[in-house]
Amino acid sequence: MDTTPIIATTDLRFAYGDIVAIDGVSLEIPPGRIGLVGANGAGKTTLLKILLGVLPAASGRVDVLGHSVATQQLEVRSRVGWMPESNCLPPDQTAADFLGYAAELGGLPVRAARQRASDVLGLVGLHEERFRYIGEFSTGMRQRTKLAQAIVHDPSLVLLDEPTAGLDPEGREEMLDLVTRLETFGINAVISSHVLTDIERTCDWVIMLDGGKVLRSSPLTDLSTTDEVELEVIGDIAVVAESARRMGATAELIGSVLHLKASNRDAFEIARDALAEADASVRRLGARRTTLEDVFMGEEAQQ
Amino acid sequence: MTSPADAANPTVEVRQASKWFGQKVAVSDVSCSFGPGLSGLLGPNGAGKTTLLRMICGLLSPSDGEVSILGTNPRRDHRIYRKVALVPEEDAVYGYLTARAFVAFAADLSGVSRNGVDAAIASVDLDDAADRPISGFSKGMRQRAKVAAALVTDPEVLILDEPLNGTDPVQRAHLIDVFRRLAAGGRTVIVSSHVLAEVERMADRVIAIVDGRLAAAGGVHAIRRAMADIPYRIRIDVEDARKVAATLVGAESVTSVAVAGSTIHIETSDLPDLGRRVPRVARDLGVRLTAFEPEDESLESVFRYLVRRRS
Amino acid sequence: MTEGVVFDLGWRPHDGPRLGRAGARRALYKDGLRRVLGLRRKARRKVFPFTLMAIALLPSLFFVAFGVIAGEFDPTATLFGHSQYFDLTGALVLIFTALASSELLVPDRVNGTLAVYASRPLTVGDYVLMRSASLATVVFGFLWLPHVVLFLGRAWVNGFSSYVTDNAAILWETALASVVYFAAFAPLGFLVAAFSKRTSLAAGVFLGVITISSAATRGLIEAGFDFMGLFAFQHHPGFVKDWIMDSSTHSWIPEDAGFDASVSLLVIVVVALLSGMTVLARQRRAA
Repeated sequence: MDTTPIIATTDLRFAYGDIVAIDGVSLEIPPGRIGLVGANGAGKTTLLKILLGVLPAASGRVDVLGHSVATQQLEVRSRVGWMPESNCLPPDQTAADFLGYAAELGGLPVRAARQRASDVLGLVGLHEERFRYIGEFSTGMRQRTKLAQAIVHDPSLVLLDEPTAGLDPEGREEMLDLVTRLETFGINAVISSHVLTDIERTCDWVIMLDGGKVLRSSPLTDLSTTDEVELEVIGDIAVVAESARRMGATAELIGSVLHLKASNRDAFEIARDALAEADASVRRLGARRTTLEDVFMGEEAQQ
Repeated sequence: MTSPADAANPTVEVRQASKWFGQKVAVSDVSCSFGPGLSGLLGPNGAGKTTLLRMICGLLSPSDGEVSILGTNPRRDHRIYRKVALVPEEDAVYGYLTARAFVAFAADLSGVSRNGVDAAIASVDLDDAADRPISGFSKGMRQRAKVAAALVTDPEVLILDEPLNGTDPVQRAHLIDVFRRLAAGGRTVIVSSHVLAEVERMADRVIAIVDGRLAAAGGVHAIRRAMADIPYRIRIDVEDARKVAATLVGAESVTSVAVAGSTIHIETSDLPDLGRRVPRVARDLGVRLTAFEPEDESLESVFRYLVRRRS
Repeated sequence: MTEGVVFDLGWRPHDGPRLGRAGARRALYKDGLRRVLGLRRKARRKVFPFTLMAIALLPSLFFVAFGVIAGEFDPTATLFGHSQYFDLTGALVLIFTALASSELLVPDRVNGTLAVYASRPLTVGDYVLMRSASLATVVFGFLWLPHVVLFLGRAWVNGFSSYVTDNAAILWETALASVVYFAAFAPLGFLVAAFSKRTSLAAGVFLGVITISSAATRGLIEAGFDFMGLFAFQHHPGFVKDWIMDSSTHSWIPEDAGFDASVSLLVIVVVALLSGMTVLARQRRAA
């Protein structure tokens, strides 16, 4: 399996005049689906633009897919796709026509371009609609067309900026599904999003930015499991808490969730036995997982 | 006995309301009510949510049925507008104003004094940026300015259409906090949003509109329970899964069991019964139980079922 | 209401050739042509360009037909000779350039399509160059085609090969003059378009500025400010054309101001260069 980092930056810096947007960012990112999170103004979009070479780094090195963005910009661009947050589609062309154009722009020969445009449109779920003018499209259709243009030239990496913005629950579901499937196409993805649950669902690596600096860059799983047990029941939870305490666990009730910790015994064993003894009906049981939001807020609080 | 679509102490009542635009029926015979607390309003795009919200605000009159706020028809009595505030999805085009000026302007428009301006700005945490022009604001800050403008009239009913659009995680968490506080303080807060995971966190109850009709109402768990024909899907992680599964399959309420490694995917029509059995079986067999996770109780799953059912 | 359905049709990676920058440039060029001619778009987009082309071409076809029927074609006739023809097509090209240049630059910027180009093997320079090339192709066709028609028509009537050998110079002279007209109008058109948010506005401003410049400079020259003759943008190409073709079809403002045609040519080149650099800078910032 190829483990060369798909993105590697060394001490990257960028400023808009006096405002330092990227302040010494060094990253090494493995292949896969990477979430990019941060407060507004933390530098997410700036970083994406630097990866594309749209903005030149003031200092530092940026390598994408093994090529230096500074010296081999066009090489990089022919292997990268971008799904911007803002509009990027012309209203006076049909989706099919525009996708064919987008593919040709990516360097595909005319016939292959048309074929791939057709394939990708089907993949994102645009069928008869593809022959209508983009100006008539709904938000859901636009987002799909945007994603389609980002992958039509078979890039190795796509940069997605808020891919689920404006979509209704069904649309979000389908978009997240598509994004997850990109890996099976051999396409790596960097997904910038404000909706942390989306990132949790689709990504295996997460980068947190704040004030132009990297707060952390690590696999998602590193963040989650603890040795605490969380428990919810249908019915009276106090009885279960009592039982657990008698068995030697510390039991803390937060809202409707019971948190159990034990030093001398297995907390899971205690949970099981407490439930059985109290004849309670478990509604949910599992290791306490810190969510991405917990980590994010924790890091933010430290700043 | 009131239906779950009705709130206790309702402030907003919708009675058999319908709205059509020519041939298109946007809202069809919807009856529900909202009261103090936070209610979520959900539905696919084009399902009639926005139309319903506009009827509630008095921007549209129903083609049939009636809508009332605090007992008054908003189309007849304009004074009721002071009690209702809408934070719309679209951006108001007042870029050149500072946030403070914008909120003051909103106060003037509604005919209330400017005393509440500072408090409104503080409640959305915009104190630092209050004297900068809105044109320089990020999306999240703009949202907060809009909410502040809505709060300046101290409304009893606050309606928010996609209020978290474009806000970053910190701003989101903060805004959710603001909304819950407002609801806890006795206001009727109605939030319409597509990010169901967040609606689930915020709202005490939800109202779902699909194809212009009321598809479901009530608490999320209660709605799930009301879908009695769809068995609950649970994931159980346990040692010696096959043995545990073999015991569980004997229970009458269990409709399907699938084993993969040390995980059991189980379907049952009686969740409480299963919840009682599993710890006992695990204890009796002396095996370690590490997870009991409902897989389709989230608002997202519930919503998916709702949308699927309409065909 | 369902928005759509996602099928798993399986992904086929692209194993074929990748044409890189060259392919991208070609696509950009072809798109420019289509945009300007209204091809692959709603029918009403074709009306304007094709109508203008018809107006440009028709007189030449008419005169050829007339000449063929009458059996004679006086090569020295001044009514719609080659040089005079430019006075007609020059005006048409001005209008066409106004609309086409804005159509080529404004929508990409306003719709955000520049973001799509940013993830393709293209530089900003490629973009401006190819857009110019598309416009140049159409404008050149506009301007030169009627001359080819006239030339061939006259050749036909006047004993083909002898006519051609005697008058071949006309072909390259008219070609050169066509290039001059393009160089005089297109850069300014692009300059206005690079800073406008609406296509119609850009076209309007461009046309307005150019036509007003004629009236204004004439007035100022009469008041004694001869150097203002340099700013008679609308007249420079015609003046140079007369120089190339050794004719005199109009009293050109720069001429009246006392300048030589070579000065007009210099102004055209300088304006083209300055506009080009400004447009490049502007497009870079917009990306």
